[in-house]
Amino acid sequence: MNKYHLKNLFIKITRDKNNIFFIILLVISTIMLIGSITFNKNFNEYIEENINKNINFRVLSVSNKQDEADLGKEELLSIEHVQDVYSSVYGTFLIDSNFANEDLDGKITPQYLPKSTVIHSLIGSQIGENDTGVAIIPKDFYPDNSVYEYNINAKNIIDGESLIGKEFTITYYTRKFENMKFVNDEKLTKTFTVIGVYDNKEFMNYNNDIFISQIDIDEIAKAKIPKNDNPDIEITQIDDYSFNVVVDSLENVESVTEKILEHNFSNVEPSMEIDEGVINTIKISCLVIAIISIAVIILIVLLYMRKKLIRESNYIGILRASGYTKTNVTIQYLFETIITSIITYIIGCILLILLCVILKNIVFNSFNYIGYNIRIFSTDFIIGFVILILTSSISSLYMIHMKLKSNIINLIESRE
Amino acid sequence: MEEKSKVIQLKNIQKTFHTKNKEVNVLRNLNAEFYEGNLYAVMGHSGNGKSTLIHILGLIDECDEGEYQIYGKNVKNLKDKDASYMRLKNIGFVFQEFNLVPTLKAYENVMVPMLINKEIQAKERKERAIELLSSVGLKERINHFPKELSGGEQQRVAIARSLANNPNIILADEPTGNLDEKSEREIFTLLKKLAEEGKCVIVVSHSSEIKNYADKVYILDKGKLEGENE
Ligand SMILES: Nc1ncnc2c1ncn2[C@@H]1O[C@H](COP(=O)(O)OP(=O)(O)OP(=O)(O)O)[C@@H](O)[C@H]1O
Ligand SMILES: [Mg+2]
Repeated sequence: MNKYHLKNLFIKITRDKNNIFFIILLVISTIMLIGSITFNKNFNEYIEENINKNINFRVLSVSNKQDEADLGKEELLSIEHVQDVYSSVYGTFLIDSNFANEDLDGKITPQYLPKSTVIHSLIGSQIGENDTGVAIIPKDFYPDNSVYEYNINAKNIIDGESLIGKEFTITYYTRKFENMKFVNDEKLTKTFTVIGVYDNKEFMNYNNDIFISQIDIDEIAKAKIPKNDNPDIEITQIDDYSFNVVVDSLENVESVTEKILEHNFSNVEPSMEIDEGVINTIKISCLVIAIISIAVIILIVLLYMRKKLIRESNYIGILRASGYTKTNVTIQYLFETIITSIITYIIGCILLILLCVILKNIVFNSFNYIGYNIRIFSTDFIIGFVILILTSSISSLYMIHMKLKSNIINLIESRE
Repeated sequence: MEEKSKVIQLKNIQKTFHTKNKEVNVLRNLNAEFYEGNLYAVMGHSGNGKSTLIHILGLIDECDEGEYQIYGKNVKNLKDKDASYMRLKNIGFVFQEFNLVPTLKAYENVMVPMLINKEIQAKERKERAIELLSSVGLKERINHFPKELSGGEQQRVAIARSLANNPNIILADEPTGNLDEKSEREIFTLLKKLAEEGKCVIVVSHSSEIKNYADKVYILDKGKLEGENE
């Protein structure tokens, strides 16, 4: 086998119109194969990067103890593996800011960053325990109400990093209960300095979630939730909000839950939970699609080779009569299969990458802001290549082997 | 004829086909010698075993009994690999059906047998294929696909292909069976030319026209080869 022989085979393949349909079928199953491997890998990656590492999966929501002075906060903090305890009222306020312009309404949500939480994506500095008037904003900052609908217009994204060191102002009102309803009372403003940016995907936060210190968030909470001076009416007080208990790692969530229950707290629930059932279904589906694709590749190659070898029986006979050994013929057809598979693979990869780019730009563009992204891994393509070449080679080797059992005269004399 | 060297020696060749309910003794104690530079015609009634003889001579079938030598070398019961090598070096086939690859051009078809011949340099193959096609009068047709050629032209491509590895034995089984008389004469002329160039050419034919070209005419009858006028 040399390059002239290969060239001859290449000519034989590309000029044979019978190959077109075969290559189309093979391309489809190759795309299914590599596609399912790629999707599976992306999915696992997504779970690893964005779910397992996410703090929200180790935050427990716990009802407080109204009869205790500190509502049971110290008791919760004393439990082993509890990293922090804070009121669930934090992070529930949508507040106006001077980021408002003709495209964005300026709405932001202050968030509390639990103690000892590392921001991996942090650029700039962390908020100290006694700091006030400082903020860490998203890298792709989008101070607008529409973030909740994932309706982000890329051209209006504010580059968070460019704001480091700059100041901004928030405006909010204290609230009071008057004539049986809440009304705005006193207008308050507060100025913050941006000291850092972070990737909001890391916390499953929205693009308008900014971290501020506990002192500042407490101040806002106290202003926004009015104190009730009238014992006759019942309205929700800050103290009525449950606690968020941050566990130090995902593995300890279960044991901490049990301990909290032992301490007679009620309504202990994870604030976010992974649905293992759905995850497993997706993973198994990927595996099933991959296996089906392999089976389809084998089937297509077997059927195709069967037809091809019947069609080319007398050609094989002529090859044998002119001195080709069984090995020569086998190698020739093996190379034909490999060349065809490589052509298929190249077309399949181009189409698959195109498909990924299209999906990425059209479908996943908005999902991108919550961390779902398609990535293409070269290893998947190598695995796909190896599977395609191996399955098609073995299938066609089998067919050639069977064909070469018939004698040369029968081969030459056979007609379609 | 005597000074020419002997290419093929057959002694007491026996060939029997066994089918479900009967046995056919096709060749019975067949003896023959074939020399270089001659065109041999093998004639005989249908079913007399002419094709069977060609297959045995061409090492694509085996005889049951007897001796078969090419240039004094025993070639009976060779292993597949050795038989293949013998065919590559010494034997060129021409069949009634042209058996050309429809997706390959004339010269590419002629190149096919050369692709595994290490003695022909890779870059010389195309040149050699074109030379062979020129020698069978198809210089103008080298880039044509089989379907663009007449039957006679296709058979000439097949003859050029049989010459690809420069064998000394050309076995043609009814090469003109599918051709008109004019094409038949062209093919016979061509085969005659090959014999004159020193090859041992054995042609099976039903057409008595071959007698005008043959150096010796054999009749295959009752499993034996007999000279026509003996
Ligand atoms: N593989 C086989 N199995 C059984 N019988 C066979 C086989 N091949 C040939 N025969 C029989 O052997 C006999 C000789 O066949 P062969 O093809 O050699 O004849 P032929 O002289 O070439 O005839 P034709 O002129 O029609 O081509 C025939 O009777 C045929 O039926
Ligand atoms: Mg015959």
